[in-house]
Amino acid sequence: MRRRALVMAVLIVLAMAFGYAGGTAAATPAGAESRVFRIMMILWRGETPVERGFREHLAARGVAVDFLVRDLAQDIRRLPAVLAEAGRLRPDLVYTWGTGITLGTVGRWDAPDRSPYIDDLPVVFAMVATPGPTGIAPPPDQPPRANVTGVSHIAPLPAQIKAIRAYLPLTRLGIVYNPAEPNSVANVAGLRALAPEMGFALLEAPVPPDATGAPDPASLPALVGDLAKAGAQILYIGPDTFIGNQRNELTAAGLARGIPCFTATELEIRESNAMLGLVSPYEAVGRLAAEKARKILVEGQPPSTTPIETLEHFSYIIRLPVALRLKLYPPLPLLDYAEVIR
Amino acid sequence: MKRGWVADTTFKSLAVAGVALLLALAGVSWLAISTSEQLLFPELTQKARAEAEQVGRKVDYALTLGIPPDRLAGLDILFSGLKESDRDIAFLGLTDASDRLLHAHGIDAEGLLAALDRPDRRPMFEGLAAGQSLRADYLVTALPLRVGTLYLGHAEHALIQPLIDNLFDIGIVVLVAMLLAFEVMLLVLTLNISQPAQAAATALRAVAARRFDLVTGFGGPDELGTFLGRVDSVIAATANRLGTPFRSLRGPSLVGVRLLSFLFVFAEELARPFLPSYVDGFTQQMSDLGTGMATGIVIGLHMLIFASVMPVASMLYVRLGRRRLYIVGALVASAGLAGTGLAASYWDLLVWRALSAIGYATTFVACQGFVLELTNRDNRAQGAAMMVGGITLADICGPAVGGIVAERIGYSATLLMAAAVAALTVLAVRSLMGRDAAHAEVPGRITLRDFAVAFGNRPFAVQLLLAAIPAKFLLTGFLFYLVPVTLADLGSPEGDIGRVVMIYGLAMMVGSPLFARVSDRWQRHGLVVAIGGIVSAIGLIALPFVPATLLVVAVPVAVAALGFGQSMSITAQVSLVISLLPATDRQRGQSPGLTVLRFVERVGGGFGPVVAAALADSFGLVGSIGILGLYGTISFLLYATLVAYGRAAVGAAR
Repeated sequence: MRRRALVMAVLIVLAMAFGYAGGTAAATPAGAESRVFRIMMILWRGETPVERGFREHLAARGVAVDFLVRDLAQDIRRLPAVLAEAGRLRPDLVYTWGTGITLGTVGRWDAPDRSPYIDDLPVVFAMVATPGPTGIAPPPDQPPRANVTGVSHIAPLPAQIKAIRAYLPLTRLGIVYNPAEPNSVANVAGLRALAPEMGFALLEAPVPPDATGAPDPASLPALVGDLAKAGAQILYIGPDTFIGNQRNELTAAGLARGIPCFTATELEIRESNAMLGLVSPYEAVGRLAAEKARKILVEGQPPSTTPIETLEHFSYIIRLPVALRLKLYPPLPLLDYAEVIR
Repeated sequence: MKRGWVADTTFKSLAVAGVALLLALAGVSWLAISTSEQLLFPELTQKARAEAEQVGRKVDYALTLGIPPDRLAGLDILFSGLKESDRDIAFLGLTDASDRLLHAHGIDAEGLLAALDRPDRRPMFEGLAAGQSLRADYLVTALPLRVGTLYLGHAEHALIQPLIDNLFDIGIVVLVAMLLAFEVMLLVLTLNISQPAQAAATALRAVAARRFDLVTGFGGPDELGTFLGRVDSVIAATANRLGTPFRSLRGPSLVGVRLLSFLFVFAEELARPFLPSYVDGFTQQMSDLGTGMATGIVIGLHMLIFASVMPVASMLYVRLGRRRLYIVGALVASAGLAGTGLAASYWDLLVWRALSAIGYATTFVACQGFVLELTNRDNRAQGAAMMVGGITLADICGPAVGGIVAERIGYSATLLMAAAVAALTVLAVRSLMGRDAAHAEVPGRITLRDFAVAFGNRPFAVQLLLAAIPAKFLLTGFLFYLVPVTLADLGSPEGDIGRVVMIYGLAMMVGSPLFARVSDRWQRHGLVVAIGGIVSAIGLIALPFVPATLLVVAVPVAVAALGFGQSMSITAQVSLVISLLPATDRQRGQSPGLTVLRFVERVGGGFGPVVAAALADSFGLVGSIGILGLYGTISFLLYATLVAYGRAAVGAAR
């Protein structure tokens, strides 16, 4: 039992090996301080706390930036035009938000046709849950990409499972996901591989498409009902844009069946009714991405030697009203470090 | 004690007094234990209370969040976490507002309820914190919460656990106290009882032989004094009537040298366990030299100055006499120690250490001279044993006391205390050394001719280079420098370091008389020197192979081996060196060879800490210990070979 607490402590200080070098300023190329850099931000749903963190970090480090903000307003069809504009304007750096935009901007590392993608400008991404499985990052045995780096906001899967187990015993994990999203599919594949290793069964409920071919939100209560019948102890919410949008429906369906939700992203617990989460604070994700941008712009460090990273620290968040309603009370040791939303 | 030197009555009275002393000290120790128990009790109860509050805060927080008390999860994890940091915690229980037991960990519900139902006992000592009681075998801390009560139980036997843990320390303190008390008692008994009694016996025996030329001179206000005063007045009256001159038997007693040598060595040894750490604080400005090296130089300098000042002090001895010389030495040593404690820079420190070495050498020569004056060739060895006894005792008590004191009042204050001890000896010297008399013999004087004679003797040169110098080298390099530095590096407090250094003196005290007998019986001093030397060095070789976690145990073992080994080789070496010398020199009653040997080995010893520090820079502390051990072992093996080979030649030289 003691081990649980220990494991939690360890996972809270994850990814230390990579080291978030936010503190020390290195050599600066001549004239770089006085320059105003142009960064094109390609966003999915307007500016989020991630961009706020990004801007604040650069401002705090004294980097003068002229931002060219391009919001796709959740319509990926607008991306080619933005990329064409980027080709004309030739900003110093392109910032991309989320897996969809990032894949559309830089493509898979091994995509044979490179014509739609930006290969000659540095690209820093944020909010990409799984850069490896989605092909944004090449596998470890391949050389890193020349112009792409960025930040993942998701804690490693084993840490997520341990976070769940610090709260309640877990043998059956239910997941409702959008099979049309590469990031979500990659994440599910990861969980599937982890299940036997960590001793739990993964109960999968892919969301079926409606008449238009888009995932059908109306199917959610039934899917959750099936998972409940199969004995799911907790519903897992990973990096999945569709589920993110349907967060209130999903968590409500869970509550109705007495099943809590765990989330690996912040929105579902801050602005909806997931019961617990192991998440990156969005501003911190933005700051880490900004530091990578600063290294590339100010220090002249090539993106290929700027590693793709996730944060050192994750927040363990408990949404208390949900816990009380489900009568699933957080264990005392968790209360030492968890952030409790009352 | 030395039966040959004191009368049987002294031995008996010492034995009786010794047993009484032992009983008294045991009693005092027992009282001390219960007193410290009394002092520790509130500490322990406070700690228990703090632990209960720590759990209580968490539980209260959970309750404010709206978690029902009977549904609190994870108390078991909290409990095992607590138990990990305090193994004396026995149980954790939680009741609701109506005293219904909701949770019990470390004990089953029935056991907990039974314990809580037992009436509380009155504790032996004051100091229970709020909400605490002694029930069954537990110290129970009850902490009211927002809802219900938290009960934290500690095993009651845990209250004396720290005392058991400290038993070793207490034992050492008792031992040191006993040795010190024994010393004082020996002095008091000798000066007040056995000496007057002996004088009375001598005077009365003369009277029995119809000679009236001796009075005891021990008349005084106490019973014995009154009696001896009457005896004296009768003898004096008779002598006056007969017109015979008479003289007093009262004179300075050799036992005084024991206390005097003890005191000046004690003052110096107080700093032994922490001197390297103290010096280290001054070496930052000497970064060119390396801080270890700079420290080694300060430690080594003392031995070097000590060796070189002794011949000079011998010359002063002729001019000043033993008492004035001792006073000068003690004051210089006192100034040196005080200066060391107040030094502001590294160079300061060097000067003050040199000064205290000069004082040390001077008092040493004065004590040697005192022994020479009060003894003749027949009892000189016993006289020297008196002085060696005092020094050995100081070697034991000094580091132990110094370490304990330094832990409490700091390095500088301990050095000032050492200065005070050195200065205090001045007060004792008047009554203990008597008046300066004419002196036919001068201690420790050496001439160039002595060196020529000594080095012209091949076995002697072998003795010096392969046995004497390596032995001193190990002593100063290992015990004086590497042991304190290594232990401090391992995080040992000064008290512990002092007790480890003390082991050397203890081993010497136990080993010397034992091996002196062995060595004399075997009549193969060379062999004993070689065996002792190898024993002393072998422990050092082993240290680099000991896992770091066991070093705290291994270093004391190596120190004990060094002590035993050296007690073996040093005693045998004295006999050997005296036998190696030409007969003409022995006529003088002193051994110039021994003086040369001491001089050269001390100069060699001065380099021990310096070399050890230099080696430690390249090979680490433990590596440096190993190399010193290797040097010692090889040297003594070579010595053994040469002795075996040259045994016939040595025999011929005799």
